[in-house]
Amino acid sequence: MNLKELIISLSSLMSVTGYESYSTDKLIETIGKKFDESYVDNIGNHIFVKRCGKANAPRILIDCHFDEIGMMVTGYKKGGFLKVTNVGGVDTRLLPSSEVVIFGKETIPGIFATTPESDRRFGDDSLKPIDQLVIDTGYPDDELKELCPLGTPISYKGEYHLLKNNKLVGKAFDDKACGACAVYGIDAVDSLDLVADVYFVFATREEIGCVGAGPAAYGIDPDYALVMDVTNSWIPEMTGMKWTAIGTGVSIDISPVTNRKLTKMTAKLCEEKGIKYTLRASPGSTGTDANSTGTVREGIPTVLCSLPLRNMHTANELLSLDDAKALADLVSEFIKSKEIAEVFAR
Amino acid sequence: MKKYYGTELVGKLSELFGPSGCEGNVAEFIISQIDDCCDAYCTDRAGNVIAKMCGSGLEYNAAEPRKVMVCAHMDEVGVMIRDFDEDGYIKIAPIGSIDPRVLCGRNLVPGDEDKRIEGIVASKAIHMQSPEERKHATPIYKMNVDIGANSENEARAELDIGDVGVFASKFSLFGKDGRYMKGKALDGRIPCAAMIEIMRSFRESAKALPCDVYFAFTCCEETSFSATRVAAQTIKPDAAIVLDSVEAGDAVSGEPSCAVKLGEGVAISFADRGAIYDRGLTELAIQEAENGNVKYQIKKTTSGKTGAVNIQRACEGVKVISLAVPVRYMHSASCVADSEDYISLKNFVDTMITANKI
Repeated sequence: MNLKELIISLSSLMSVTGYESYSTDKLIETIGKKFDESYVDNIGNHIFVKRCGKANAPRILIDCHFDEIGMMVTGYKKGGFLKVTNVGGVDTRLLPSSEVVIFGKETIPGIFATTPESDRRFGDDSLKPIDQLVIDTGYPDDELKELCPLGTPISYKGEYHLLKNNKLVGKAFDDKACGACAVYGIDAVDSLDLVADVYFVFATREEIGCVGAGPAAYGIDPDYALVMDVTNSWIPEMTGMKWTAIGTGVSIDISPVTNRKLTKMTAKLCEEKGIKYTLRASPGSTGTDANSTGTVREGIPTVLCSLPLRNMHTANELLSLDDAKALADLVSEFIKSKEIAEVFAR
Repeated sequence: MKKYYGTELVGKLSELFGPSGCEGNVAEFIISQIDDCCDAYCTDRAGNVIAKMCGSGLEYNAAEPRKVMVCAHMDEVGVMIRDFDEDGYIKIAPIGSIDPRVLCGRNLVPGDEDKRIEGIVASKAIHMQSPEERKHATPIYKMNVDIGANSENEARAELDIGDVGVFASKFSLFGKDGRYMKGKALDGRIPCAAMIEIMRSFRESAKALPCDVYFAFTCCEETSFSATRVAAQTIKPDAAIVLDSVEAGDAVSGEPSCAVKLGEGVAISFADRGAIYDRGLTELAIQEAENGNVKYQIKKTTSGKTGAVNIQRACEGVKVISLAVPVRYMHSASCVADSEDYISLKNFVDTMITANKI
């Protein structure tokens, strides 16, 4: 499986926040063979271990989150419609007429209803909150309640397209594209070249407040950590600087939350190995799992590396496969880096 | 699972590329479907496809045959390329009426009759939106289409100003037993499919039609320029059955603004924003539907309009009647229609023509 296929394969899995276990089997089937061990911890983190073969080896944590934003059934409306609420930050601007997949007792397609023309007043461009929208299923009411009980998770429908310049479009690259880069980067390194045992955490519940990353880090007790998430790339609707453009490689965040020395060494590693990167100033919270890992136990030195992404949290997120390759290369170099291990291994 | 006959044809038509003014692909496909089941056909200079089936039999007046026109529009709503920006994004304007709320974030197929590329309507992430921005749709003129180009020159190498685009949407069946159809452009293409199937069934059963029937597949219904009028002037019919669709607001609206409901049968209009339909013909239609056991409903609002507005005024004036299939989420990437309503539409037109009372 090449990197593009791996990104699509992982992003296609259903992993709405809190419901990641729906895809445990498929996830292990897809990437399990690339690791020595895999397990699911108490809170629902999917953890994969690749051993370096040395006794009492240090541990590197590589954290990406497995969950994707989605929705959940909260009620029914006569005529075969579902009422829903968001799980994580769902953009209601995009919902009318969009297609979704409903993971009830059977997996069925649904469509968000639009405002009919007869109800549109001239110039009306108001967006309804999600609790006033309904999803059309085409099922009789009784059967629908049976098929999709309250709490049934719903995700965007994923279709993947390649645009010009190696740009890939689809759903849930946040954060499974980074997960694919991690797996690809780890798989590219021979066990004998590892400077530590590598713990790849596909964390749970990031989208509702970085819930899984802390407990995962606590359980693993790593020497240092690389957290990878997507970051908003500039698009014309945004004002201000055109930062983290698509195609500029890995975005390395400099933040008070992360370890300054590890960050600088990671940037230097990119420099030495010819990996394309940019620096990004994140003067406050990073909004990622890096917020959690840094304060676990005695404090885990953490670096945050991001993948530039357009249209985040939509069914048409856009990334550059060149950036993804750069991120995967960085993962490979990071787990081979003796310089970093010398400084941060306990 | 019950198999709904004819949805395959609707699916093929739905996926064709044919925004108003660029219907060539649809016309070509339709001709390939009907050329062996009509007596004559032509493409007129406005782009309409007109096919004739001659009458015969005892009821047919060969000296002065009555001429009945049945029409549906081939075109769909879409977008036109208006400009490019320095970063390679594309600015668009709508062709026909598109609610900006169904365009944001959608997949598009920009191109022309002989070229297609892929693009998406870009959308700033929710994290970057102000509370105010979350309450209002982005106007279409401010939207940016991303085709992956890195510069204006790269974008211009792919597309020109004036190129057009449609929603990217695969046709599919959904709902219990796959009863419902989902796809783009269903509002015009379902009636087109119904006409093709009616022609096939007349030909296969060698039916003796009491009048000459002209099937017109027309262009540019979604815009103010109506090629439908040209078709009517060419045919000079005594009466016209205008097939179209009417938006079913039953997902969202309650009474009184909900015009029709999905699955309740063919919608008959007395009047809409374009035309007041011929009262005699409309009552005849209701009578025939009752006699022929065809499921129908009366449209309860006067919103929307059809090609009838132009046919009515053509030549010395033409009697018009509107039969419409209910469609939810019209003019979006995901129109939804009921296969049962589609079957009712076919039966209704068949009944109206063979009754010889028009």
